[in-house]
Amino acid sequence: MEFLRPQALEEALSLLAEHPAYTILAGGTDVVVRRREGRLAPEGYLDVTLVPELREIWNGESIFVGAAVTCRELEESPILAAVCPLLAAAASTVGSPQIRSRATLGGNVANASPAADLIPALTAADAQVVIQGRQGTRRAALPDLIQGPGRCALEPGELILGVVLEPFRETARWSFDKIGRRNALAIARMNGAVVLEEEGGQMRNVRLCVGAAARRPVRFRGAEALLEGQNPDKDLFRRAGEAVSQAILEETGMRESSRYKLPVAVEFTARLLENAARRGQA
Amino acid sequence: MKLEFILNDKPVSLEVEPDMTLLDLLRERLQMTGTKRSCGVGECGACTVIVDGEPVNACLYLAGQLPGRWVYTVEGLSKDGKLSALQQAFLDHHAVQCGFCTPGMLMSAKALLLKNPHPTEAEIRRALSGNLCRCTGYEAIVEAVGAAAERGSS
Ligand SMILES: Cc1cc2nc3c(=O)[nH]c(=O)nc-3n(C[C@H](O)[C@H](O)[C@H](O)COP(=O)(O)OP(=O)(O)OC[C@H]3O[C@@H](n4cnc5c(N)ncnc54)[C@H](O)[C@@H]3O)c2cc1C
Ligand code: FES
Ligand code: FES
Repeated sequence: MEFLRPQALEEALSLLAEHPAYTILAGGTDVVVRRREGRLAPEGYLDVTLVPELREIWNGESIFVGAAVTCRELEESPILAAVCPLLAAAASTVGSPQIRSRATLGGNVANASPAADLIPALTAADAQVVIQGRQGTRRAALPDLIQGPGRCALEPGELILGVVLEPFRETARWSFDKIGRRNALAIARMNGAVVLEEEGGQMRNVRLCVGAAARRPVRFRGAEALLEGQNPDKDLFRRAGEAVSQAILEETGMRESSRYKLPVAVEFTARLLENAARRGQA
Repeated sequence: MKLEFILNDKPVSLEVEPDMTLLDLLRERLQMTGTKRSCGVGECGACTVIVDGEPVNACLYLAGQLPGRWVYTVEGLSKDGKLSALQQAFLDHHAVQCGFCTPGMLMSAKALLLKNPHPTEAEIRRALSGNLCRCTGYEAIVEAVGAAAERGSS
């Protein structure tokens, strides 16, 4: 069994080109579980956790967060606390302390679970995923990259380098929330994030993503449009929730889980928006 | 592969398959059975050990990622056959019933105290949130960790 551990990005890419069938390994919290459940039988491993570029968080014109940064590091990053606290907050809810020591941002994205907690936060933060392959680098928004449960559109030989996002402005209001069976260790049954800007009491540039509800991460443009330019208001938040619930129904159709999910989506969205608005007053 | 790492302050060197889990490595190759196996998929915390200062699930950690790491297991807590203050606090506070979860609880608590010697009760609960106990209902365990922290040693 080959277990490759490149220590430079160039080396990682050429090893990946040579062994496109090998399993990319970061924290292993999805890979090792899938292997144990018999859903994955790696031919070899390509461990990306020693590649320095993937381990960095830096704050230049935009913010770059490397794919191999762990949830613990996201949670404790002073840079993110200042410029994208939403991502730190989402990371702080992943799994358990033990899982957060290992689980990475890139693994969360590539695994493309509908319950992944970083995905709605990154979507609401309008993050672009930076991907490198033999052809060079490309950027993709999460709703384009993630095509369905477990389906992340990476070509063979491509590696996620990280994400870039714009720092939050002072007027930014945000919230993240999830509901699941237990507090720790629950893979979210519904999670979501919102970012908006408050200017003169009105909401602008609302970006709303409710995850684990649809087959892939989507922003709810209808609800966003309802909120744009309006004052924060409980009834309005409920109507936005109804718009989200309606959009989920259109996207997924009526299913067994809809009876639970649709009314929950209304309340859940309204609470997300209330929390974001409340954070503004603090 | 030839694996070299530090286990409970001592260098270890052995030939292993890189896709073996740290849990299998400890229990089967090194006969160190203090670290427990239950779910095998990161959900119960019975297999918690400390790697480079962070608590991890040994059942999800592959040997191939271990070279050069510092690993602490429950066997590393006691010194010269004497229980550590943290272990003693678990006994004093009746935080051990069947004992199956105890090694993992101890390692999660130890990882917390290494970083944060004076945690609040909420911080203790959060640090133990990846460890299941079917017997005690957690109160005694949280008290034990708090008591060990108050005494300023773990
Ligand atoms: C007990 C438990 C609880 C969990 N709870 C949560 C939770 O609350 N919320 C949540 O969101 N998730 C949860 N997860 C899922 C998991 O921890 C996350 O998805 C995690 O972020 C995966 O990261 P990793 O580094 O461990 O990925 P790995 O397992 O190493 O890899 C996952 C996938 O990503 C690919 N990959 C990794 N890095 C890259 C890269 N740089 N480029 C391209 N492909 C890459 C791998 O090939 C693999 O397909 C939980 C898992 C467990 C076991
Ligand atoms: S055995 Fe590792 S978490 Fe349960
Ligand atoms: S003491 Fe029995 S599981 Fe915790």
